[in-house]
Amino acid sequence: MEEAKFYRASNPKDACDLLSKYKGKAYILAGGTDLMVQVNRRLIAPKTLIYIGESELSYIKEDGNTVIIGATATFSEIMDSSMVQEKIPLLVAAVNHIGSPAIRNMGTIGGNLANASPAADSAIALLVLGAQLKLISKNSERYVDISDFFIGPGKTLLQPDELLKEVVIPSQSPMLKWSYRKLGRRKANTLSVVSVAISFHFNNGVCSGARIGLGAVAPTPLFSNKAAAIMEGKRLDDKLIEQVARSASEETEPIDDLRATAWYRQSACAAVIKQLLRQFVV
Amino acid sequence: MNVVGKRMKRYDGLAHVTGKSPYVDDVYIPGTLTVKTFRSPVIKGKIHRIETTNAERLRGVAGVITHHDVPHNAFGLIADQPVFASESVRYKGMPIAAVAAVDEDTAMEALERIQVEIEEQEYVLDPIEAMQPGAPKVRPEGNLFLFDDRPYRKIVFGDVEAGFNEADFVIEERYFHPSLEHAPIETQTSLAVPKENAL
Amino acid sequence: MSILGLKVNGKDYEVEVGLRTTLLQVLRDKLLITSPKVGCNTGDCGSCSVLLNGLLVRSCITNALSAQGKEVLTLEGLGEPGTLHPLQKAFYEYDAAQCGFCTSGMILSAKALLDKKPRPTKQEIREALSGNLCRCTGYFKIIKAVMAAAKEMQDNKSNKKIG
Repeated sequence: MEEAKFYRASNPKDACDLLSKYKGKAYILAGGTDLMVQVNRRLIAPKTLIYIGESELSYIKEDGNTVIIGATATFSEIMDSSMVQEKIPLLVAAVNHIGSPAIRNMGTIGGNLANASPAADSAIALLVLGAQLKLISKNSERYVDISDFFIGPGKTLLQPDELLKEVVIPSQSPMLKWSYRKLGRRKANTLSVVSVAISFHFNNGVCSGARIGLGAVAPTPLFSNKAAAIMEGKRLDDKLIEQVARSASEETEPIDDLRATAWYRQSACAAVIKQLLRQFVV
Repeated sequence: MNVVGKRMKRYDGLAHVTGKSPYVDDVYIPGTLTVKTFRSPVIKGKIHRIETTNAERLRGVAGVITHHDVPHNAFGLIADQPVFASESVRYKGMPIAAVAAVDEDTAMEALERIQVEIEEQEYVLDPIEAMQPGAPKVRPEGNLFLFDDRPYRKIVFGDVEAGFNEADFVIEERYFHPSLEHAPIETQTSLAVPKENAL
Repeated sequence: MSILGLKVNGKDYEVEVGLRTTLLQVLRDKLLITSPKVGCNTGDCGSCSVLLNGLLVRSCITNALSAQGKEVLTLEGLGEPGTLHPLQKAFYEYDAAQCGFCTSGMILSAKALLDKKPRPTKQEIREALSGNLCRCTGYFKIIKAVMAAAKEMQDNKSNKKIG
């Protein structure tokens, strides 16, 4: 019988060597908040685990106007970082709603992204922030825009021998207007039913450079291009807000599932967008 | 009666806060077997065949039982619920067989080796639909439970008609209330320890 | 099978574990430390919560081998009858445990909070315990107990300074 193996990668290079050796037959373990749930439910039975929890991947640093977060930085570490609170508060707002304190202590940003749930809370914020992801393998490395990273529910651009190394996020301009809201069946410790992240520049009541991210309403975290474009150069008023909300909800492709119906998701999505934008009407 | 009116601390409070309260799964008896149940994957159906030999043969399995092994296969407030389904399945998850094995992994593997042939049948899930004539029969006796010959319970206090006549407004409405279960987090577990002539 | 070495409640242990073994299984099945409970086995209910190197985690979804060389604190290690931690004392005095199944997780989550924030507001307590489900009490007495424990711990601290 094949011997089960638990590898502790000491650094990213180690991890990549192992990934290359096992060619997609090994599972990566960081916090385990998604992987171990699947193991406990007997949905998967890994024969090889590559543990990257102590592989020098949990850094949080700044580089000029950019924040760089290592794949195994936990959500608690991200939220507690005063630098992150200052430079990318939208991410903190989103991450604050993930799971519960214990889950945030264990769960990692890399795991959240690689698991690629359409409801992934960090993904919605990162879409709006325009993050880039650094993917590395034994012999290569590349940067991918987060808006290209997700290709289906639970599916990403990651090749079997690739590791998500870090997330590169431009700092938010201090003048940027932003907001985030997550709806769930409960107030805490709950999966998203609909989540919305919005950011835009606001000058004398006129919007520009708007970005809208929607979660749990499509096969992947959704970047709502058309709706955001409607705001360009326009005054923020109830009429515009109506148009934006309607356009965004038309872009969604929600499904009925255990938590909510497609109809609810579409309606709630529009309602939350209106709610968030109305905060800024002067 | 020397505690009535007095402020008392819970008798089990100290054990709860120090982790000493013994819940069923906390009791460790060496050699305990783990039991897992094979449950119906379909909502309603007719059972044609139950095959457990492959499960019985698995190393580490102490036994597999079905309705054949239950002398009196009925329980409940009104004893009409089978312990194990025999001829038909009435709900998804209805127990059809059970395995006792040396550990959980073995028991789960044994479950996968049990084969059951069930002919799926038309089902009804809504009580109002189930009351309509021609609705699929949930059970042979029909879908209405009778309280003394009536398919409903009638509760009367005082002179209702007189009350309606005297009322300024009469509002008629249909109210639905889900059934509520107090469900503490401890999962349903039981431990059976055979002793001399008793369990 | 691999050997896992870890410290639990101050004692060193070495146990044999598989690739899929969880920290909860190590504690309950191998070490017979049964205060962390199996409630959901998916990290949602909080009854399995323990402190791992001082950090609040869900032991049911912690891969055992990832706990190599680390220290675990469970309720048994917090205090015994006669040497109760203020949280245990408060939970007892304020009747904050009914069936008691969530209690271990609740107390440890509260401890994790008080370790970081010795003077939490009610809202902070509710957020800190948001990952611990209780089906019996309605949470009211639990929050009261945590507030009382926090106060007692602060009073003890100032008494120490005076004395």
